[in-house]
Amino acid sequence: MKFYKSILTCILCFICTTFFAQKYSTKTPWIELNGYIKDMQSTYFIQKIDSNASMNLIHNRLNFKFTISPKISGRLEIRNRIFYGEQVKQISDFGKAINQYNGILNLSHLWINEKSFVAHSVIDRMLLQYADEKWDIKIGRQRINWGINNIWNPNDIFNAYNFLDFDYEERPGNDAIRIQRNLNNSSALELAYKPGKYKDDHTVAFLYKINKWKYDFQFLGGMYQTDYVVGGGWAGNIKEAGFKGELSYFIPKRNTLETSDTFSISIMADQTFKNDWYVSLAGLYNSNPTNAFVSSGSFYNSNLSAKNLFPFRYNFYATVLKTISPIKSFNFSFIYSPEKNTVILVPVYAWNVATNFDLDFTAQSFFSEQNNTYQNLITEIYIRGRWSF
Amino acid sequence: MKKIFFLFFFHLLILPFAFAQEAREIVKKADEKAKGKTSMATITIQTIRPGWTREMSVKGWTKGNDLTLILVLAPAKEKGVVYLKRKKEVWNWIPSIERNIKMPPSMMSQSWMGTDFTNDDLVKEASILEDYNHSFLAEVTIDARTCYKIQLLPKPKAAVVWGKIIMAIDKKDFMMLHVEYYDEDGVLINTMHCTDIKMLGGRLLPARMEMVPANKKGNKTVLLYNSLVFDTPMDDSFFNIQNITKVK
Repeated sequence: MKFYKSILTCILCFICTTFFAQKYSTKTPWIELNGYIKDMQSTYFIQKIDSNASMNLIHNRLNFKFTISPKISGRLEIRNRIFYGEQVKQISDFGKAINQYNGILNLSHLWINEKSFVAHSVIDRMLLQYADEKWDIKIGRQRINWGINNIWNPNDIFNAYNFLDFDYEERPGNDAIRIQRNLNNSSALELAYKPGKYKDDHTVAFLYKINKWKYDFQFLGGMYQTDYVVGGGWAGNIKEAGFKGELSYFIPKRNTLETSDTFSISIMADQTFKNDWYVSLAGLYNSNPTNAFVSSGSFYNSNLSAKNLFPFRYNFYATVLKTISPIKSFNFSFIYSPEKNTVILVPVYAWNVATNFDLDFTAQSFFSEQNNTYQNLITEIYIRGRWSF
Repeated sequence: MKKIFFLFFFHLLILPFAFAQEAREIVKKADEKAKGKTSMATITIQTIRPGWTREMSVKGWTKGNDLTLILVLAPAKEKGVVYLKRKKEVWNWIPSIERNIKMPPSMMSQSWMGTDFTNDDLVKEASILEDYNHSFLAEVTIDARTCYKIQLLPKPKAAVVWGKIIMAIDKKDFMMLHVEYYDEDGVLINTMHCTDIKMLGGRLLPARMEMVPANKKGNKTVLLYNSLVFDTPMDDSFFNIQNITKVK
């Protein structure tokens, strides 16, 4: 706690310096700040329009970048959120539910935790980086993004995420060490280690990346918590369409009745068409599905992992994006699984109202077979404003 | 007589090739002048539409025709976004999600970040030499400067966006001053006009380029060169995928 407070004090002291530095210097200032303030109003309906509950979320992000020397830099990024409204009240112990991280350092704090009002801060990036032409070394809380596809990433063994949680594009960080070595202009080797709190919580793996025949390829292997993991992925094209894929195979370290091998593969294709249409298709196969599905996935740190990216065996995704004008776009996503004929519909309308000000409208509607009837489980509507700085 | 006739015939045959060669050389000269062996530029890009405008600023590095790297400096939301082009492959680094996305080839003909430039215009300019056949048209005067007017028609199997390009290149200083882009049906799509000629990176070049789409009234994209440096030595490794996350 003391540590957290001292960090905040430091930040406040430096904010003024930063603005001053940015205004009067043309060189890279030694400290830079950017981020955003968002306000999001959300309402959900359960089947009937009159059974609804709302919530407001004020969301601020501060990204500090420190350039200590040409080769050494640091990053500190803070996510501050204030939730209030009916929805907060409905979820028991909402504050506790969002204040979870099972890493080494506790860098989050619940400022206010009342029944229908919660204020929370978390430092989700705090790292030191050494980078020269050959090496790139990062120590601290960071995002290790090994994924290739846009929705499901079996290779993302450090930071798997829930794509329905659209308001957290940065994704949580991990306390880890990551060492990257460029072998030549088209290949690199990476080693990452994320120590865990408990014995079976560690993840350590290598990643080898190579560009050949106009394709990016990658191979990974290592230890993932209770499993060994091997995997790989590619990004290339077939004619005009992008063609990408990832697969991972998890083998339990110890064989018990409850453990089994898990194979996860995701393939996607995307293409743009005339008049600014874009279509993307993806599929995910998981040999070991949980079939447990929480429909309002957005606010929980649900137990999502590279091993279990989506609850079902077969999952399909399609999205159509129409860019109406450079500042307006409409996007419709459709997620389907044969398991209980589960369908998720996600329409999004995004509008860049002015430089640095965005407004978007999003809905997420979940359908599934329940008790022998096919029904809409929940529909959540979000209106979000964002000011970036 | 036979000999003269033979020589004359031979010249007739070779003449179009000689002119084609010369037209290509002029395009090449103008292209090389604007690009240098390497270049480093800061550019402001204004997207103008009826009712609104947006401004963006970028820093760009090029080496030869195969290597290009573009870093977005503003607006705040896109700051740090990087485009890397190596030969015909393009990657897009998005810092907010810390992911490097390989772009599908079909995306190349799309608008680049909402401007009237396509991704292709940005990264594949090289092909104006390799993918087209060049020929002279009548001389023109653009902003009181006498220019070569050169027609570019795509080679039969070239994978290019345009069906025809007509460019005006200043005779004295080899600057591209006016370029018209036509589709496969010969319909004018975009017109580029260059003005504000001044010394940039030690060379006389236009600092303002305007791209105007033909069929969209009130639409325009303006490119303003704020600074330009030529021929600084750059290693190829500067343009590798690993550097995409570090460039500043």
